[in-house]
Parts: sequence; C-alpha cells; structure tokens
Amino acid sequence: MHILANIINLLLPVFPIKKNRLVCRWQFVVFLLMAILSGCVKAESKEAPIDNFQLKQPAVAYNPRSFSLESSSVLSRKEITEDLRLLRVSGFRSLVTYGSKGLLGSIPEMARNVGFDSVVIMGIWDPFSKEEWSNALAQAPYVDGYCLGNEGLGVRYNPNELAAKMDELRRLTGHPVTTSEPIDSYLTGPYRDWLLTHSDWLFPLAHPFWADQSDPAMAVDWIVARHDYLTAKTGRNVILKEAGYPSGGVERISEETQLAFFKVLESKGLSFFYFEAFDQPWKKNILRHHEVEAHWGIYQSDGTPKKVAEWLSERWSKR
Amino acid sequence: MMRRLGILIIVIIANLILSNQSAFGTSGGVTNVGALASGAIEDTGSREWVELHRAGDLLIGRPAIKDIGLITVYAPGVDESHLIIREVKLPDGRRSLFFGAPNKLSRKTLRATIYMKHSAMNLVLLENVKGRWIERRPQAIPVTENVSSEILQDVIVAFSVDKFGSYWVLEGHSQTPGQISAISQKQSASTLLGGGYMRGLLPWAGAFLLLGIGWTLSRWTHSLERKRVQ
Repeated sequence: MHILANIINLLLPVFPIKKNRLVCRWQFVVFLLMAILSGCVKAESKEAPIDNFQLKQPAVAYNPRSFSLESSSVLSRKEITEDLRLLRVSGFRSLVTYGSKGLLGSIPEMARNVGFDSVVIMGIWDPFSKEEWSNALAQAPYVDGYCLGNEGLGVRYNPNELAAKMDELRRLTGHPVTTSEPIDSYLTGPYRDWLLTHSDWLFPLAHPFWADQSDPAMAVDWIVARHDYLTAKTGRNVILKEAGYPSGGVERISEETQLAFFKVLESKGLSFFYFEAFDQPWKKNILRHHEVEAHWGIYQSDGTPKKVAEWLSERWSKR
Repeated sequence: MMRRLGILIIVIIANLILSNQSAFGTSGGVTNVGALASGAIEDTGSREWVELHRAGDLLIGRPAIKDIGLITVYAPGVDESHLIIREVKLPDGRRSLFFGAPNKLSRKTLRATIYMKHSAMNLVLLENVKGRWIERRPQAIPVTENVSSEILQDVIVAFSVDKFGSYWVLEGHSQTPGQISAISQKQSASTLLGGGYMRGLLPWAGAFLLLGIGWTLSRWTHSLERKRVQ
C-alpha cells in the first residue's frame, strides 16, 4: 500500500490532485489494487483447458524411422535425435508421439532439446503399461498434454477403464488429457458422447483415403466438412491428430498427389498434425497390412525427403 | 430536352449493362433486374440476412432457407459477421444461390462449408470461381443428433466452397457423390446447368432492341427540336 502511495506521490506533479481532495487519492489506490487483482485473476485463467491453445503449424505425428514391432529392433538415442533434427529442418515445431515404452518415453525431452518450441503431445499406447505410465509422468515438464490410447476404445480398453486412467493422469501431471479415435466416431456411434465428454480437447484421426477419397481436393473437402461440423456442433477446438495421404502402394497415388493434398489442406487453415514423419515398412511387413500403410511418411524410411518434405523445407528456409 | 433524353439513354444503357452482370447478394436491385433480364420472369426468389456467430474457431450461421441447415466459415480475425443469401428458384426446380458477405469477411475467409438439412445425395453444387463454374460434389457425413431427448441417426450432405459468391444447386445428378473426385473445370455453365442457348441470347437481344428504341427516340426528338428552332 505504501509503495502505491509513493507511486501516486511521484505522479502528482504530472497529474496534479488538489490537496483538499485527498480522498480521490485513496480511491485511485483502491482502483489500482482492483486492476492488479483483476490482472491476477486473468493470468490464472490462462491455465484453461487445451481448447485455448493454438498449434504452430506445421506439426507432425512422429514415430522413429527405426521403430518396428520386431523384437530384434533396437532404438538408439542418436537415431531419434537425427530424426528430430531432420523434422526441425522442415520447419516442424510441434509433434505428437504414439507410445512411451523404452526410449520412446524420452522423445518429448529430446524434441525440446532440438528446438521443438510449440506444442508437444505425448502418446501412451497402452494405458495399463507401468513402464509407459512412469515414463509419461517423468516427461511432464516437457509436454503440453497427453493422448492416452489410440483407436482402441471398446477394443483394447473399455470407456470406464480409460476414463479412470485419464482422470488419474490429469491429477498427477496437471496437464490436459485426451484420446484419439477416427473422426466419424466423434459424430456418430456408441462412443460419441463419451468422447465429447471425456476429452480435454478433441483429437480425432482423419484419413479420407480410407473413405475412397483419392482425389487430393476431394480428400481435403472430406476432412473440412467433418472437422467444421464437429467444431460447429460442440464449440470446441478440434486438432486433427492425424491428417494424411499416402504416396504409394496403389495406382494413381504418388508423391505429387501427396504434395497436392497437403498444399490444399494447409491453405484451409486447419490445426492438424502431418501424418506421418517417416514411412513405416513394418506395418506392411510385420502387421501384413495393406501395401499403402507403409507409405504415409513425408520422408522415406531411410530419411530421404519426399516432395512434401522438400516443399516444407523450402518454405521454412524462406521465413 | 436534349439533356433529359441524354440522361434517359445513359440510364437505359447502364441498366442494360448491369442486368447482364453476375449478380451478388448484397446488390439486391441488381439481382432482381438480372433475374428478369435473364428470362426468369416465372422464377421465385427470397433473400435472407443470416447472422454469423462464433463457435470455436468458426463462424456459424443457421439460415431459414429450406434445405440449408448450417453454414460454417473460417475467417481468422473476424469475430462476428453476416451473410445475405439470395435464393432464386427456377420453374424447373433448379436453384441459384448468391452468398453476399461484407468485404472484411470475404477477404479473410479461408474456407466455408454449406450443410444441407437432408441427405439428398444427388445434389451437385456449382461454384463460380473467377468466372469459371467449378463442380463441387457432396460429402456425406453420418451424424447423430440429440433432438429434444431423442437421438436421431442421420446422414447429412455438405459442400465445401472457396469463396462467397454465386452457386447453382442442381438435383438429379446421376454420378455417385463423393466417389468421383475430379473437379471439372472444362464444362461450360450451359452444359452443367442443362440450359439452352436462348437463355444466354435473350438478354443480349433485349438489350439491342432497347438500344434501338432509345436511338430512334433520340433521333426523332432531335429532329423535332431542330424543326422548332428553324
């Protein structure tokens, strides 16, 4: 209070107050105090849900290029750091991960160290894995939010179990927590209400290619129509955890069409993570998935940039 | 006298020129004259002011116009705005829509989507982009709606557009929606709309006729004036 009074005294020569109106001075002090207090309240409200944060584009969905489900595969810190540096050169500042087992559980810290200065979301693949859980808690200082589970609602875990784990993670870390399912599950189906209620932000997966949208412009329209309907109906910020388009595996698909897709998508101003950083051949070789599954990367599995990565790097270098 | 006639002729010519321009929503008078001059005497039209409110990152509007359930607009930096929608129905069932928007909204819009109320999968929307008609295929979206404690399953149809301006909504399109992805830029409006050349020629014929009448009147009054002076 004394400090405030001194400040007012200093200001008196500039803004003279008549001595017989000293009450005004105290009114002014009270006014200043209220202003400061209201500032504090406002500052506190910045701790609001993740709905308020904005991604700095471009953002990328990242799995190391040396990752595989084969038991013989070994990840190294050096390789992951190289991956992250490569992505940083393309201008990426935000990323989302999928699992936190072993070295995967240190990716957020490594990403911060190589310059990922925007949003980092840490993925936990198995909500019941003790190893993933403890790694996730240890990385709390480096992450902005957690994504617990991925496309497993009603399959790998049930809604009640997941809700309990999400609450626990929120309580232990103070960070917002969500999960991810295909975007149509947020618009209809048995888990729609659950997803809208339990997600701190909406984090759907959008893959028009699997809805027979092979034309890049139509594929973007497919995403925009769903994304904007979801936003309009819920009033929530929707961040697409995965928005992607393959570059091979079937006819009519190429690096050119992949580039065209991402150029149109970028022009629409959506918040999305590029799906995905590197080609993942194990999805075809080990999981025996469709050939296309191995070609979603914007880099090949050996780190060679595809046309999208070249375009992003060029754009970034001009900034 | 001559001055009055001159002004009259200028007004007639200006009207003829205006009536042959593409009509945009906010210019109500122009749309009316344009519709009449385009042979749309039997057409029915309506105009609606649609308030846009913020929902998340988007501006959303719910027009009362039949069939359109929702409009979403992404225009960063614009908090509230409006659209003026002019709908003209032709006797054969075709509809034209004009979306007029304030300059700031038009300038800042990065994307807009029009959601139809019903799952009419045979709809096609033609968007006029820089003088070319671009065909927009519908996107079918499965949704669940909670309407007064009832849960309704539905499929709605959406069209994504680049900018506000003029559109045609056509029914009875035979191709599978959302599957054939090519956005045609080669088809002419006449081909897409199924219209004959008469619709295009009539305004021009009318314009020349009126110009001829104006010119004759001008010559006649001029000669009368000259005789009176002599």
